[in-house]
Amino acid sequence: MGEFKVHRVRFFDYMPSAIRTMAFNSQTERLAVARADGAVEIFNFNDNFFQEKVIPGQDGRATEALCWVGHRLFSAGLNGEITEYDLENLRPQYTVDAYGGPIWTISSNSQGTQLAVGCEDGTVKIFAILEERIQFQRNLNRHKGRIISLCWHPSSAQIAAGMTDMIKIFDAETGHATRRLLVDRAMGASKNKEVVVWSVGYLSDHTIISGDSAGKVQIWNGLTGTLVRTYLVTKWDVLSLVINASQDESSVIAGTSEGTVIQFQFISSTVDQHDKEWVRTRTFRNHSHDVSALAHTDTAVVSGGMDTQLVVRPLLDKVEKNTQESALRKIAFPHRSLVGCAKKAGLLLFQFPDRLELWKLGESEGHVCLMYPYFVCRFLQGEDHICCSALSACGGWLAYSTVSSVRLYRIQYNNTISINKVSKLPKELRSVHQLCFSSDSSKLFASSCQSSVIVVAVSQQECRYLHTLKHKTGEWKARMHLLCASDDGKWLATANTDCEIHIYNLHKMKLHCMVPVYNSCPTTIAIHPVTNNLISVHADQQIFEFSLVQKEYTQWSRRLQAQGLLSLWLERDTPITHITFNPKNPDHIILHDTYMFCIIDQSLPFPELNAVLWNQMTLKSLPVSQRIGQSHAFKICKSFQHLMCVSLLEDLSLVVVERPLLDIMSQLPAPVRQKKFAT
Amino acid sequence: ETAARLSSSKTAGIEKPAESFTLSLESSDDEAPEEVTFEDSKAAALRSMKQALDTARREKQLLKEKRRKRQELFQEQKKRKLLSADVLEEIDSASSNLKGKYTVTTVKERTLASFQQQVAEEFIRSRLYGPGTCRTTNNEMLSLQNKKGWNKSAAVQFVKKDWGTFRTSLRLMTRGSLLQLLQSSWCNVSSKDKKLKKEKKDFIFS
Repeated sequence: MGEFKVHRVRFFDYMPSAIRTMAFNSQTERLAVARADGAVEIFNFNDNFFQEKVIPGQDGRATEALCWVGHRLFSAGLNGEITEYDLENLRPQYTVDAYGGPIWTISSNSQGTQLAVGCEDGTVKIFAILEERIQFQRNLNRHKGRIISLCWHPSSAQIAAGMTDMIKIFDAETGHATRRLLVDRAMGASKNKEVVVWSVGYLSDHTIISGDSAGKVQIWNGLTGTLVRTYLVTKWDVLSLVINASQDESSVIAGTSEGTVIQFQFISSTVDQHDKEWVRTRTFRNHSHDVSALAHTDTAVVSGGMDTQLVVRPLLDKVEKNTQESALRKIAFPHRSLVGCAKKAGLLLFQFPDRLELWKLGESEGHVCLMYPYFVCRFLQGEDHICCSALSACGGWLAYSTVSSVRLYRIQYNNTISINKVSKLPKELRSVHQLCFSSDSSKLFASSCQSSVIVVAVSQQECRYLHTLKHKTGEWKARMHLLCASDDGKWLATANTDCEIHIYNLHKMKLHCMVPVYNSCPTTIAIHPVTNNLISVHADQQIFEFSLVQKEYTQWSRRLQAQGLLSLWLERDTPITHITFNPKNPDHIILHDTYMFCIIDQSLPFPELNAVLWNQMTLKSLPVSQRIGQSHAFKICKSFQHLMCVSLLEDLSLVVVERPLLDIMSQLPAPVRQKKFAT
Repeated sequence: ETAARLSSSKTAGIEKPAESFTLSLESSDDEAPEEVTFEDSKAAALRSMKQALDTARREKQLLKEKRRKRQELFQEQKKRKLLSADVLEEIDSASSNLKGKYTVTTVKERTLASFQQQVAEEFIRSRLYGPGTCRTTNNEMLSLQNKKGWNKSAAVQFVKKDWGTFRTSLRLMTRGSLLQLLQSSWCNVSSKDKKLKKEKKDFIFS
């Protein structure tokens, strides 16, 4: 019934960037993650940990610390700048040079009125947080070495700052250092090596907890300046430390260079609870490399580091065991597609932060390979990293955008490849988040800042502005993260991070309708080439089919909702990032996540609730006559991993772009050398 | 007279330290010679010698520092020389027929701030990866995992023939040499395609 020739592509050298730091906003349940390349990602912990926003990085930004102040997000880095982000338009709103050299740490006081940054020049600088900006107030007394970490006391009256060989407690009002806590260097051979206090925490009862490069977690009495307890947790560095400050300050987690995350809890060993002390409780080993970033939510420990994976480890005393809620989550790949496919031309576009690569797939006739896949060209981007890119179906047009500009290229294939940059672009094409070509390659659609879509015509001669598609005038909407056009050129569908899907009629150039809002964000949308039904898949793995013509959900969609999706489908922990269709069989919907691709056959019944979801192997073992009885609509293939894209070309060959996790791991920085028994 | 003789021989001691220890007693029956012990004069001579050496060393350091700062300044000035704006514009908008691959990049001016950033980045690098940090390779770590795992398998470099070598060189290849390389056993694309055509079982959906 379904036999496909496959282009198995493993030459997309996608390398995720290391996680440098993270910050959890308990009010909005959003986690902000900053990567080594300067990118900032926002994960929605209320919507199946969906990566709803990505702010592209920038060369040299070197973010070291992140900090939420209410709904506002600030970062500071080794470039010496404090950046506030515009989370609606996904770019830096402004940057302020702190004039203290590289900045190592940033933290706000509990009232959200002041920001403290720790600088290379030994000063802790205080900035006032004003409505639309921040303003330098003063320096605390200068120390003779760099300030690596700092933490406000919840009363905002003191700041504990971690440096080399010591921790200083500053009076935030006067700027004087009131106490100096001397940190011991490592024992043995490393006695001459200075100890760096990588992170520090300050509790309401004036307990200070520090993690340092000698592998120690130390508990101090901040009032008397004395050391209470030392835990030697690793031979290497304790790189990060975080307190569950928004709850009851009873749990502290520390991340090490070994890849472990160690929990300490303030508990008592006796029944009457009078003699509580900090006790080392759990050790989590979910990383292969240094854990440089941590966050503590109500119910989970979130960690990230050099192995680039984001790990959410629910705490089993806070969630119900053996449920979806208690499962370990590892997010290793982006929640959006970085591969563009020109179906008619057999071309692939790979999007990297700093460049694009265009490849032509090989062709073959029968068993003879006429042409191997070859590299066409590379587009190098400069400082600002690439936000989005698009390739037209014919392969003749390529567009990409950064936070500041849009580029459009015309590609011609004769005996040689010729690439021409279209230099004069309409001024409306500026800050764009999504790009999409029409199927006949005559138009380019771009989602812009004011939650509208710019339509431009592209032709041999020029790129001409045509129209702006808007919602009702004056109504503000969230940023669009998905854009797709129908094959017949009549419809355009857009989706935004407020879970709204809008449909535009391109013949009339106006809004056609809005799909009923489902409370989980769409992760991908596509319009069926024959039926013009919109298929949407959401972060909670639900699937809907909406008829654009009828402006209502289709019968098939209603039946699917009534039947319910199998729990094995709903429990998948990576989102569907791409949907494509089969030109030969209109009943097929082909979609994929990181670990599988699936052909949904709309002509077949849905699986019963007790049916086996992955039944392809079973079906193969049955005689053909019996297969029909056992078949259901979901045909899943798990032969390929880890999937970056699955697409179907016009010649009906399947393109499977894989990026095995092992290939990524082989290029990570060096892990620590652990001495294991019998090796 | 004796005292004067002694003091002059002390100062002369810088060049000829040996001489300063010889106390030449002049004949003068009226004045008693000043009592200076051997230790004292030795100490004094050593002190002045040390002082001289210190001064010389300090001067050397200052000169070195000055030379280094000048060198740095020259480097910065060199880097600050940019191409003029219109040349950049021309390069940027040039269209061309390609017979190979081309890339256009814009270079940014390096400043003192980026120098400080480099120093900071070097600090992290040396603390985490410098000497004495006891690190290994990903290859070794993954091989150990293979050996200790439930399904024991060979060390990673034996499992993956192309470990780390292929990809970096891929982009620099011309099409001809790429074809040659793809014909080798590594390439998943062509060999797997052929393999799949032979097998034809993976994608028969029932």
